[in-house]
Amino acid sequence: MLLKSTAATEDTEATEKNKTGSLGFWKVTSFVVMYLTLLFSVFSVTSVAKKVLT
Amino acid sequence: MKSEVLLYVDEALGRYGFPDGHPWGTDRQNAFWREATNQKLDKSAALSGSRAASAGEIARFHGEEHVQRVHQLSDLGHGSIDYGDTPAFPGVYEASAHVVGAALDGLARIMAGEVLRTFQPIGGLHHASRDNAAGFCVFNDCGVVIDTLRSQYGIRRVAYVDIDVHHGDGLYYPYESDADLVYADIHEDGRFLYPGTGAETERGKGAGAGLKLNIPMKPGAGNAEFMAEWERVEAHLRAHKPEFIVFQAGADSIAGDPLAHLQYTPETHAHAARRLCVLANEMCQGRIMGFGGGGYNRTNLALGWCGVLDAFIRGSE
Repeated sequence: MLLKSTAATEDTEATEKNKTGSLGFWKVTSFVVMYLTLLFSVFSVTSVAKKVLT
Repeated sequence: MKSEVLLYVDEALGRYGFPDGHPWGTDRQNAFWREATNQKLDKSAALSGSRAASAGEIARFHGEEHVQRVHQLSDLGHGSIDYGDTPAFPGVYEASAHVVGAALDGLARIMAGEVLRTFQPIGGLHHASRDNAAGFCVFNDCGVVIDTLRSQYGIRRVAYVDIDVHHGDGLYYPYESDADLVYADIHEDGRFLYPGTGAETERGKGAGAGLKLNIPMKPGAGNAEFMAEWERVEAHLRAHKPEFIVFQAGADSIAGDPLAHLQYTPETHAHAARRLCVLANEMCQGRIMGFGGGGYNRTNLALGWCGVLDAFIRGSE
């Protein structure tokens, strides 16, 4: 049974979950960007090193 | 100058409130009154006290069993009148009877031509059904007014307009098939909020089909969304030409209410009240009754309801 007096609490929890969901999305996005940046850096350093060594 | 607006505020109405930190406490009327006097609105409206409605008057809308049960629980002084939202307390029957009595007194004085408009902050108990209390609402004062208009004054074509954040299920379902109750309700989408009803597809049934307008708003909707949808309410009323308007101006749709998620400012309430006064002047000989409905943030309800009262005072301008 949906109660008027507690509906807000339930909804707030739902809203918090949504907010958490949104934060989760940004966390994953940030991690992917950082990972790609790191990968690109390693690739660049490796390329430069190869050129220097050859 | 004779005041065109009657304001219902007194101690008996203030006693309609629930104990133990309930969101609908007994301090709501005072919160409104402080702001009304601060804005000097009390100087421009005539004040009236309430009276208790008789059991027979309440039973114009409600089943007698419900009326008797509330009386018994009131004498008992504890328990729940519904499934948990609406607790009994000593004197709940008398307080509820005063809410209905004030509404009936206002109606009688409008119909007698003494005033054009009334505003009753503690009123608009739009969740109570014919046979049950619900959602902080013991007796449905608006329902009693509508049925009294029909049975005592011969006025059938009544518009019920509701901008409370919660759907007015206690008015929608009893009149869902009614051929003369023009219904318009803007509320937070029932998928996110109590009572869970009031979908756009609920347009009335049978003889009442097409006469009901439900406009659910997404959580977070603000003034711009309200103003856009309000045009539909006005068009709906103009299309069905009511003879009398009952307006439930719940302030829980204003941003910051602890029970809901809309983001209006008090200007929405003032705008709705102003426009309904214009429509009442055009179609209803100026006759409109306003009720405070919900609202659990005291600052919001004070500002929202004062906006309505101010619009009612300026109604003929």
